[in-house]
Amino acid sequence: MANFQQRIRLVWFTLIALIIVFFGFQIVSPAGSWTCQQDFLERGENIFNRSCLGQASPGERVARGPGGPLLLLADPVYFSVFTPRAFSTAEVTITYRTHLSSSTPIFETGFLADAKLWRYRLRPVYNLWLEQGLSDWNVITEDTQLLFQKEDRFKSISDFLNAWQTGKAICEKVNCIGTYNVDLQDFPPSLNLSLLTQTEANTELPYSLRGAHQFYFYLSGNNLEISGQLLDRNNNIEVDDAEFLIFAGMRLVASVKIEDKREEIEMSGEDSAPQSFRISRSDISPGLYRLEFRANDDLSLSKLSVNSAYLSAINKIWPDDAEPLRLYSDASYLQAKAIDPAVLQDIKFGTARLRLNEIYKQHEIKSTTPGISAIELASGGVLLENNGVFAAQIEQLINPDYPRLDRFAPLSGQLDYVFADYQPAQILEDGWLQSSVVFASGDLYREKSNYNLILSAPGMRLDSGAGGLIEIKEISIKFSGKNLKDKLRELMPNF
Amino acid sequence: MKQNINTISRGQISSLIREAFNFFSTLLILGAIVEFIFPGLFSLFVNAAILVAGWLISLALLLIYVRR
Repeated sequence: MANFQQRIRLVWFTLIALIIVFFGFQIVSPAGSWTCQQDFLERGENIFNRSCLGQASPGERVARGPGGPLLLLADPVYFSVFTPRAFSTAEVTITYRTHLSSSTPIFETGFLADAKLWRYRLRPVYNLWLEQGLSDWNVITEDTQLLFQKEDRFKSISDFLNAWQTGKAICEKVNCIGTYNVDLQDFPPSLNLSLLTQTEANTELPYSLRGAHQFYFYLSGNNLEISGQLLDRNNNIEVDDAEFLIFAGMRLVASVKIEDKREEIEMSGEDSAPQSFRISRSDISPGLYRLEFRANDDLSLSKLSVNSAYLSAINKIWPDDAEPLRLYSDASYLQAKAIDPAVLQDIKFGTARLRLNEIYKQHEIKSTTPGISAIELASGGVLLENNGVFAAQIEQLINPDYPRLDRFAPLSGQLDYVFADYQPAQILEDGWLQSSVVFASGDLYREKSNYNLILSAPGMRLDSGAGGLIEIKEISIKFSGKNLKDKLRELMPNF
Repeated sequence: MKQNINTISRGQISSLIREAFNFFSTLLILGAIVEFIFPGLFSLFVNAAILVAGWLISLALLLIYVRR
């Protein structure tokens, strides 16, 4: 009897030990890799365990089709991806079928990189323009680089890049080069800096702005003077530190951190007294700079002043004042969103009008006239976004970016060249496509053992019948990093 | 003889139930510790509902059969 009990006990002790070894193996991942895969054509849930790929959310943006694939009906859709530890590389492979249109030509995927600013690192999965839209253009392919040209001027991509990098005249008209997924830090800006105003001037933004923003400005001299005020609304529970970073290209040239040592208690809803700041440098070279104001939405930036004749907010501006305001933008479209019912209003964009009638909804309007458009709002509180820049005065607009081949790409006449870093989709049977993208995942945001994956098709909305959909057959994410041997070598160099 | 065979079998079943309860209890505790340190890892491979159901069944059998 005692023998029998001991035998049973030995059996389950052994089982528990094996289970501990199994989980230890999963945690350490000695091979240095971990794969998370979900086939959406498989029927039913696995009752024995859950998937490493969480449920798609928000739920109303997805559906399961009759054959089983996951249908993406609106943008964006998020997944949590479980990994037992952090890895240095993530390869995302998606098998899909697209039903996209000219208003939703892009399908991208990515991971959450910055949880504070809610910034995702995106890579292209499918670009309708590059796959089909430029079919009558001359195309040169070298590895993953693609060069489309209306006329057969360059014989190789390196010829084109050499001409572009050395500043040779490629374009007969302004902004004739479109780009997609390209790192442009080694290339000249799209505008001629010598044509900018070289006299020293001071520009103060007449509106206060809420949350994180980025700005372009141009310095004609060696001094840098930036000043302004911070206001903390104390609505959220987080500590509201702010940071100012100044970049020349991708190179950080100055930074200042302003810690939240304000007396008011977080979540009290009590506005702090305005806190002044000043950044002064006398060793800055003349040229084009980017100012990044990193903060959460609890902070407002007011009286921003820069010793430059140019000051333009990049891609986004969120004015915070209650008074009417007027802005200018060089983009051909405008997206607007309100989160407070008190600021719902009609917005004038050029000669077009946009009615904001619902909070938390992304409203969109295209300009009816080319070039710079004026934006008029009855009050602030509306988040404005596009792929261009915003300024308080026309003469303060400055945009060194090249047109991007996104859903509002000026394909009709402006572009003569398109340069992209893009891997065309692999065509499988039954119309399925497969694309793989690789991310350096070492610095991606990871919380409670989960990365945050996004599938994005800008412009695809539930309330727009022309938005299209995407069928997802399978998502496979292969993580790789240091294996056990590498880790031991690191810890014991003499090993 | 028949009564001895029944006594032995009942004793073995009683041990089996007791050890099954111990096994499920240990597994539950192990699962709770793993989930606490590495959230999501244990439930990725083990359905917690099935595990708890096994523990409850073994507890019920322990209370009904072993006590009797």
